[in-house]
Amino acid sequence: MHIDLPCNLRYATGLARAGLGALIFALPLMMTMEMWEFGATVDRLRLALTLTLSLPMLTALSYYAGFEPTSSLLDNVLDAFAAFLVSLVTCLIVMALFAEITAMSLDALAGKLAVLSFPASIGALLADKQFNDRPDEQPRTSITAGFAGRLFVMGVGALFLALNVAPTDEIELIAINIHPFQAAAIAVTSLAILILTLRAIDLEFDDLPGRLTTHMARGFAGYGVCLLLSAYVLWFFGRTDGKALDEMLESIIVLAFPASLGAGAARLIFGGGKDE
Amino acid sequence: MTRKKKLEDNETPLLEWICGGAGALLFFVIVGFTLFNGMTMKGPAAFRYQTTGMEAVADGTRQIAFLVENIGEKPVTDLRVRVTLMNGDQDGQQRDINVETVAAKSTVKATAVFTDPAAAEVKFETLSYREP
Repeated sequence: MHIDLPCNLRYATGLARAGLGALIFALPLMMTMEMWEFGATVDRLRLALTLTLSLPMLTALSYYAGFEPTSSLLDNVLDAFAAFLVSLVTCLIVMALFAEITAMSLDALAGKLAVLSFPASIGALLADKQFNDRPDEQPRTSITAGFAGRLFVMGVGALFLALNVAPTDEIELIAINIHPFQAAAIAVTSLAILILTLRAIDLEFDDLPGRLTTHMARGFAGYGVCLLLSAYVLWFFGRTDGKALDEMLESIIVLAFPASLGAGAARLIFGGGKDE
Repeated sequence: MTRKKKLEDNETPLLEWICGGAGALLFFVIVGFTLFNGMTMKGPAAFRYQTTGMEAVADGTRQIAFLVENIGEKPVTDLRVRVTLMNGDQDGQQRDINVETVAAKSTVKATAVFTDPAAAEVKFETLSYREP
């Protein structure tokens, strides 16, 4: 354990960067009315499950990105918890500034902060990618990504954008208004955008980019992740409750559209990844 | 513990241990608390109303501010409340008010606006609500 000042100051700088990342990523959600209500009304068991599942995801994200360089699993676990703490404090301050912390039960307050701190933690751990003040440092993901890492990075991007859009009523409205053919067209468009994005990234970062079929396979895998995560996010927000299967599928396809854009954007932020 | 692991532990700043520990504590408290509430809070929603102010306004209206408290164990949305001015035993003016969300064990402020300046008693009635 280091108790010398420069080492702790470096970590404090990382924490400040994490706070800024949390703020930038979660501010749209903190300013969304549906999220204020959702924190109080969310099914508590779904919230507990989502928070529990977020822990290994945040630990892995700390490995691939993080707000400071890490050297061990313990380091990544500590940073995941620190990101959660920073996000919680950031959300508490901002919600208090917005007068959204009023006379409410501890349960409602905990729900509100927990719901917001989940996406904010992702932002906190992506802070290094956004505000890296060490331009000479080689990105960690380029070295260690591989197929699983690549899918994970896409999943984080998909989850992040899906979380930003899913609480709104518009997903449900779009799903109700569109014809099944339009839903199929949205699915094909999402997949095509993801494949083209992945190909563009690999063309930029790799000296020997793979064939189009390779990118198509990666795109299908990525879109599959987007669909699964969109289904989970809709379930978490209670948007699948009491829905007919076809309506539910259309909602998933609609949400997977921004999710696949998020997946592509995440790969773009993280750069290319070599197969292992 | 191997020498390598010891070295890795030694490289962790004190602040990281403090923040990581505090974060872990908060994380498990929130998850535990949420789980506990999810498993124990199963009763229906129930409401208590409390008048907090009656004010005559220059435009000739009378504004009655009140608190809606959900004393039950389930949150509700689209709560409809009927506020009735009482003239003795007789019902006077009525106003139906829609409250968007009331979390369990929480309160929400609302105000009903009347044009009758005389009546002093108020009656509250829960009309309907939706389970989120």
